[in-house]
Amino acid sequence: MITFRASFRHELLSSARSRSPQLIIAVFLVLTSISSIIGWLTVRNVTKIYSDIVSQGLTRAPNPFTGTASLYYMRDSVIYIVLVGSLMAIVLGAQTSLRDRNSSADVLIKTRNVSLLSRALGQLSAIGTIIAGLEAVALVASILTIWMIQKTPLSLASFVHLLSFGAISGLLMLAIASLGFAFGLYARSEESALLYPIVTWAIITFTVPQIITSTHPVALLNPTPAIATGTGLAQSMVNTFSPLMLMEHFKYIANSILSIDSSLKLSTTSIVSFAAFVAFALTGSISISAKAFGRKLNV
Amino acid sequence: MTSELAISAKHITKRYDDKTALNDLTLSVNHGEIFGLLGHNGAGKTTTVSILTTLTTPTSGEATINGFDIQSKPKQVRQSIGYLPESVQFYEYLTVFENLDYLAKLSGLKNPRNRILEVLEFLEFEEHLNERISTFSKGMKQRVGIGQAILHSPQVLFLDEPTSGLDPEGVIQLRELITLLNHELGMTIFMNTHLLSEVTKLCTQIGILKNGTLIYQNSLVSTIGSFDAGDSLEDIYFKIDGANSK
Amino acid sequence: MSNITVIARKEIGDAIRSRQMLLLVTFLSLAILISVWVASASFGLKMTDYNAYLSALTPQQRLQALTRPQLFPLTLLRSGIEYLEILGALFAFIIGFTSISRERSRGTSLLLLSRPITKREIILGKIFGLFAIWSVILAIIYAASVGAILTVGHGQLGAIDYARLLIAFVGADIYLLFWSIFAIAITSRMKQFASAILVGITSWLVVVLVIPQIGDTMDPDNQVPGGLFASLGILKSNEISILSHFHTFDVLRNGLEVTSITKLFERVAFAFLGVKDKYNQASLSTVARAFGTSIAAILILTILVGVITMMISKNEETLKRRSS
Repeated sequence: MITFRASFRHELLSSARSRSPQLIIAVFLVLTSISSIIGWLTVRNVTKIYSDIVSQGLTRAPNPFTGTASLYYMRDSVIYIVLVGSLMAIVLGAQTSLRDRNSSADVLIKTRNVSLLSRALGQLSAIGTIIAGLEAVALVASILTIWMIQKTPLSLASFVHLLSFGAISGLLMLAIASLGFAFGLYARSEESALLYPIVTWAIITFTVPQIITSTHPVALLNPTPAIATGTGLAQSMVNTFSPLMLMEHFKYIANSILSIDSSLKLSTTSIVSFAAFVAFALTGSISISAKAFGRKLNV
Repeated sequence: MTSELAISAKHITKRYDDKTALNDLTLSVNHGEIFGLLGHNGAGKTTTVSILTTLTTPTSGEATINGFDIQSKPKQVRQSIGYLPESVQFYEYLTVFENLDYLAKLSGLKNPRNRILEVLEFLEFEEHLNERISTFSKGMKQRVGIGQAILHSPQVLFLDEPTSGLDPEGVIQLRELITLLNHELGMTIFMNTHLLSEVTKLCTQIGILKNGTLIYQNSLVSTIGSFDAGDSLEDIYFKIDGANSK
Repeated sequence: MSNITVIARKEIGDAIRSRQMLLLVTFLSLAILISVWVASASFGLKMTDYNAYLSALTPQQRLQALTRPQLFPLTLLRSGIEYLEILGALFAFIIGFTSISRERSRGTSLLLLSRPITKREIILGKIFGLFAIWSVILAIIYAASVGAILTVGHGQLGAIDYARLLIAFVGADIYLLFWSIFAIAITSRMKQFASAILVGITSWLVVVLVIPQIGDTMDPDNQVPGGLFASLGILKSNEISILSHFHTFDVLRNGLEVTSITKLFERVAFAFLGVKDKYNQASLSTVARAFGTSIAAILILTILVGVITMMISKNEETLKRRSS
């Protein structure tokens, strides 16, 4: 327990002293606000055009944006979590273990009688705390922005939805940060520590969904998940690989939590794949971290 | 170009934000000398070497190396100096030859192969020519470090804490090498150290830095002569240091 | 051999030895190959559907049947270009970053800085080296893509297609070089590497995602599935007249989009490769005339980032050994 607490506190202190987490918070805040503003711009623009069309008597159809969910403005946050959230989580995780290795503090720690498992848990809990703090700040910023745009505060139900979105985003980021952390301990060089998880992320985010859904990479930057249609790939292959489209599953879950698109049906595959990934990433990273601790870093 | 002084620094001051690392440093070193700059850790020794080797610009003051001004003629300065940083690092995945070949070419040598072989022979290190640096001990790296510093036959050699981290045998070998560079190749040597024993055994001139200020500069012989007959250099150092604190 | 050449050659040598570089090239090549395969498989499905549709028609109806889907082989590269614009940019940043971070964290930068060369020569050497590296990597990727089009995609390429490919190749080379130079600038200047990476990733995100996304958002027709105007049952002629009321808005949207080098590269590459329907099969001179400004903008942005990097390189702290 002492090891856990000491590692946890040390990690928080180190993060507070280094500029990176502050930078991450700033970027996150700015982007979260931007995503809300983009959502607002969309609705405003379409409504203006719609009014123009109606005033010319060209349509009787209702405004496609009538009855838009208040959390619609958070639509783009989903993709920001997939991109900026994941990449920054990798950096955060990798930097945590690289800091020890660069300063050779890992050698000192290895000479003590410490449980490496407790230490890894302590460090990851600290990363989790930072991510939770980050999500909390982003959440407050989103609530304020939506309030300003809609001129009414969020309802309790929307607040709970937003909170749940923050929670699953946090979980995804923690899982990815733990991979960054493990790679940071395992990789031979600083560059590999960053490159391997980034390439893994790129495969999960772009290549796998493209194979399964034949969606172009730029279209995968859309907050709405890509739908598996005919790709010329055998159905058995699609079934085998589709749990690996983690970011698309995350988009499904996030979209349904934020009630952005009612036509999207949340499947158990999405929930199971996402939960399995988080569990696998966390346990895998902790066990690798405990084993890889103290590996020499090639400079 | 040759000048009367190998190294001349006048009123050099270096500030980092609100911290003064060097304060009004003035010193001169003649050709052929071995100058030892003594001081505690953090006294400003590395800053002095960084400025004289053009790696850092001074906040104020001027200096020349071999007659070249460090600020207006940095390229010529670097052409006439060799520099061995404290705990020198190389491209570990390259061999000795590949490392030296790269650095020699950047020092302006067109076909450096023969020169590299000559230098390695001088260092008695030629059998390691095709070995990768990653397998080397600290002492061996230091030897290659000297090699890279003298490839282009510089007139002045700057050594930053050259014996730090070496085993006793390594220290003796390096000391012999420095003497050889000075005596046989006529190089002026400027070295930083916090070890008095190094200075006694090697240097002809000493300077003492304290908190960024040069509190003493004289030849080793005069230094020893101007204090009590029984005083060791250690006693003398503490006398100067003590007098300066009062 | 000039100092710049010596450094550029060393950079290339390092890249050949580097396992990370191999990983990146393999990943990018495979991703692009897979994307050609996926695209041609999709086209195959389209053809199967079409043939099924044809066989269901009477000979009489066949005379008025929908036109047969046509495969323009270069359009199979659409995803490949998108990979380069998104992940290529990210990797180019990382490769530029490591080229400087390695020297600084090892401490070998001290050895370089004490040679009779200028920081400018060091930086320029690295930039030329990276340019050569990207040229080779892209040549491999393009060769693999052409192979995939010819074999997997069953496409046929004529001389003009190779000219189009060459233009897209040069565009990609400059685009990736832009990101590597940008990385060199911030990595040689910033004290902490983690901060440099974060600044890089943030810039990448803004240029690759945020700006194009804002541009997209400002395009009203993109906002409703099937298109806004179609969903409201508006005729094309009315659509144009309505949009003319929002001209300033469109100018603003376009103005914003062209600040993103990614968007510029995409527009140019898509036009020359014929991915953009409007320019499919258009002559090279037509496309060049239409996209002259975009091409100039890509060049200007790259030169600008290069000039800024050169100016930064004068700074005393540039390239110094990492302090933390």
